[in-house]
Amino acid sequence: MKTLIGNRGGILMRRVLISALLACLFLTVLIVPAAVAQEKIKLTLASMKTFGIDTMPLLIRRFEKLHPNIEVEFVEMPSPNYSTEIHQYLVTTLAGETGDIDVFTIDCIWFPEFGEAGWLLNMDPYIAAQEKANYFKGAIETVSYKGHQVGMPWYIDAGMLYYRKDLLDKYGFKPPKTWDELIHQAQVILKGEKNPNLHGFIWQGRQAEVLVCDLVEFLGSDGAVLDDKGNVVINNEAGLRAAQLMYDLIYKYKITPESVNTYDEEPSRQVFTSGNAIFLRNWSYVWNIAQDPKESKVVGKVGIAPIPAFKGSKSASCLGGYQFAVNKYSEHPKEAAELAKFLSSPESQLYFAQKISFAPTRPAVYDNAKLAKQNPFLVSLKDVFVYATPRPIHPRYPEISLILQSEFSKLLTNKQTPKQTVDAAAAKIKALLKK
Amino acid sequence: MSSRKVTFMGKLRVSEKNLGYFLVIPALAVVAVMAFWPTLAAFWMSLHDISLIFRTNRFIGLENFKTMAGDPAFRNALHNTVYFTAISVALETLLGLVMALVMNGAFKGRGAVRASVLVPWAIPTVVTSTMWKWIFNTDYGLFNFLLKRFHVISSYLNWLGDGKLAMGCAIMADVWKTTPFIALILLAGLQTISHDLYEAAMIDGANWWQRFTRIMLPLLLPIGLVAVLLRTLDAFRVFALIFVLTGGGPADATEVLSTYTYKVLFSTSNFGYGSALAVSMFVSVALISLVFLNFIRLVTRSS
Repeated sequence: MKTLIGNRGGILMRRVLISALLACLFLTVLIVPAAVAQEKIKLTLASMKTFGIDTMPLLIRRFEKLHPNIEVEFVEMPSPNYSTEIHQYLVTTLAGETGDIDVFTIDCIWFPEFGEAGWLLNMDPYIAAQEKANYFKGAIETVSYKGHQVGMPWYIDAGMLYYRKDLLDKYGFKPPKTWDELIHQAQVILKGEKNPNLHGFIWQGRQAEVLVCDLVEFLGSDGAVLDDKGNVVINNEAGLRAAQLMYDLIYKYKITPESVNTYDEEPSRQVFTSGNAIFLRNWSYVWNIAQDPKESKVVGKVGIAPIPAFKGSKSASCLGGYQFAVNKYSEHPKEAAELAKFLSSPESQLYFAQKISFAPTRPAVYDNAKLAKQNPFLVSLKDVFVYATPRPIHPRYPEISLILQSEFSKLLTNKQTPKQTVDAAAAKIKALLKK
Repeated sequence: MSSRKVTFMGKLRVSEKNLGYFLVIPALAVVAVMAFWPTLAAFWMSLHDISLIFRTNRFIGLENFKTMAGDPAFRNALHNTVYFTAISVALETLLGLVMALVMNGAFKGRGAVRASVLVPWAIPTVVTSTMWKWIFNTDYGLFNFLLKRFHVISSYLNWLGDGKLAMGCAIMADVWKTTPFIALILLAGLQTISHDLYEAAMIDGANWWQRFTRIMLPLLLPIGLVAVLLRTLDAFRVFALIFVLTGGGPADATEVLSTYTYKVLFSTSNFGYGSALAVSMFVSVALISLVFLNFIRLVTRSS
């Protein structure tokens, strides 16, 4: 009997034990991940590729150390010269209105478009009002849409004039301040050098976004595509003057080769750094390459200056650069805003400036003694950034840009006159904005 | 045949026809999800005004297609696409035939030649396009260098910066890359032609030209047409080559339907009109296929 009961009790005990074990197992399976998830918030940062492979990952690690409850996953997008592809990735990801990415890098020209689409988190509740004064005014304007700050400034870039110091010195010239000076200097030097491979002035005329950047600079401080009220003014006097200059540089003064209409940044840079151009319009990245003996035949022979202007008018330098923004549909807006703020902090900006020469959007960072010693070029750029001029600010900017690219490409291939160009561009943009 | 019963999985007796339908269900399901559904979605979107930026999504019927009819950029792209397709496929077919005839002959190192001919076809289009972009570069390009060296031109030409030349460059790069494809298919066709036919013709006193036009070409026609059809469809949808080489420029001279559609879809986020453009491409491609397939049927029936 006893043994029987004992046996039965044994079976019962075993059953209870097994059940309890199973229950424990179940509970751990259910509870442990939940507990871990509660502990760590996962954010996804989609950043464009920079030339420093580990620059962003190292900074992320520092952020994770400061915020042990946050884990950041890093998604690398293509480098900025594939901005069309980055745009496509961001549009298709953000249009899903899910929190697939929390923080991302965004070209400064996309703020009106993404802002209008309602994809950008309003940062105003997350930043102190006086904090805005610590940035360049243009940088804050860039990341704002309809009165709200919808991004955090990262770095600034602007068009500038590279010139051959050795050649200008040889002919007793100072860096040109006006277009007339530039044309005169180029013609004199070309005549004197008698080098059939040497070009006067190289810029970017390929049917691509960069053509609009160059256009903004030729328009100068008096011209614009859209005025402050959003009216189309590309066909006014200053617009016609810019189109005429672009045409004349190629076909009248012949200091710019016709092949400029196939150049974007890199091909134009190569002409200059192989010693075959006196003047080049390009972004700040050219400087480091021009000083690299492996890449450049003009090491130590290059100077920079603001983009020339028309007489009686001021220089305009096309504003560029990527900024940070937070996805409005992020599941952790507070933490994501924290990450964006961290990436835009003085410490991070100094880090980017020192590691990959990204020009800070906080003027105070330029005063850092260490940076001035290490990268005097970057610090000297402050003078160029004073003239930074944004491209047309409008949610339909991508379409406006396509129209400008097409019409001005026709001008540069001698298919239409400057007058026809600005009139056609104005008519098409007006028709677009009426939609 | 269709009424024949077969045993399925040891038990079920079903007609062979029904079993056939049953067995293709998984494949059909994949095609439906991966091909039909997106295509139908594109058709549906083409009847709407969809802008991601302005968050509009409303039904507008055929309005997008009306816009398209009056859109000079679309007409320009269509014209460029047809021009590119016609010229490049014609050249590829002619050169491909010549290459196939050469490779079909017996000579030393034939295997090596056959393999090396495939190299351009094997390299990704983006890579070859970047390569051609440098070859056609005005200042440093190999093309200008060689032409000047051999006194074909007196001064450097702006290959990718001149509308007409740029289209020619795109066609040249495409011909270089895809001629091997046609050559290989035609070579396979040539090898299926029985040698007895040539021998019989020779005994009857047919010369080389007669053997070529009366035996080889007619027997090569069906497979040749399939090769041309595949190439035409590919050329009509050309994207990577143009996108890398010129981006559609200069002055829209090389803008083709797929690059224009891409710009409308992803640069301007105008998904309604972009889908309408994509649908127009789909319809064009379908029409081309129909015409070709009917032609192929006619040819094979008459022979």
